[in-house]
Amino acid sequence: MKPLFIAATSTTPTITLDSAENLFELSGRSVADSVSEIYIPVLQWLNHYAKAPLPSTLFIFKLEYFNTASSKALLDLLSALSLIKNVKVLWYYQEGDEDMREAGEEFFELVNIPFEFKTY
Amino acid sequence: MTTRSVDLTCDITEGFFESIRQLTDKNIVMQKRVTEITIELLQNIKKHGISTSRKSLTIEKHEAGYSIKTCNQLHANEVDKFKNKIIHINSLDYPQLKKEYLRILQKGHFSERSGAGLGLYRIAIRTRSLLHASFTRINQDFFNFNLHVNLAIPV
Repeated sequence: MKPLFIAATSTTPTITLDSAENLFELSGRSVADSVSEIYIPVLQWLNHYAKAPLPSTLFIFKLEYFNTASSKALLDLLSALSLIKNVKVLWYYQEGDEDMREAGEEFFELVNIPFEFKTY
Repeated sequence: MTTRSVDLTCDITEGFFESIRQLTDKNIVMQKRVTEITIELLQNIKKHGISTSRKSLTIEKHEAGYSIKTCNQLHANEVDKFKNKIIHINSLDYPQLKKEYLRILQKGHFSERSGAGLGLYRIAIRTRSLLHASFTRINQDFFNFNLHVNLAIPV
């Protein structure tokens, strides 16, 4: 499956979805006014990947900031992940940034996926 | 007291993040919260403020924490919506705020302009304090909307 790479800007995250390299990561900031342009291709890619996923999928979130406009998109992304067999989320947060850890815990409450929390 | 004005004519740039980083020293919790709240307020003004009107967003740093203040004009027909939302948010305690925030997020009740007012919930959750709002009529069609939030440094 063709990988999806989206480069970061000052308000949008770096996104890497590469099944050949077993690398699934979203990192940086997601604080743009409108986020649909970024997340629609991600959701399409994941829906396609869900049809023939790897035996296990580790999806890494390493967000510095995300705004409320992004929160629904992130929940949609996590919901798409929940349809993939043997998926797990690795939620990184900056040492001391308990708000970002809490944000991860809130998403964990809303989707049926195992989460692991780590600091960076 | 140190005051910073945020340029509302520009997009959010690296300079925006750096400016808040400098204001909040190396306190990671405050840096993150001030940035997050400022972004939500800035985008609120962009979404709802009258584009040609005077608007401002200032961050004040004082001994006990930060005050973030916005001023923008609203169409008269948006005033009741904002007023009622702020009264409602201020009536909720912290667990209720979190519960409602997650309920709105999960149900996806997003407005056409996206956000569904979640930004004000997020601000109230992060500040754990009341949203101070005032609406002053300018003329038949427009109001001045002032919003003021306080963010205390955790002890």
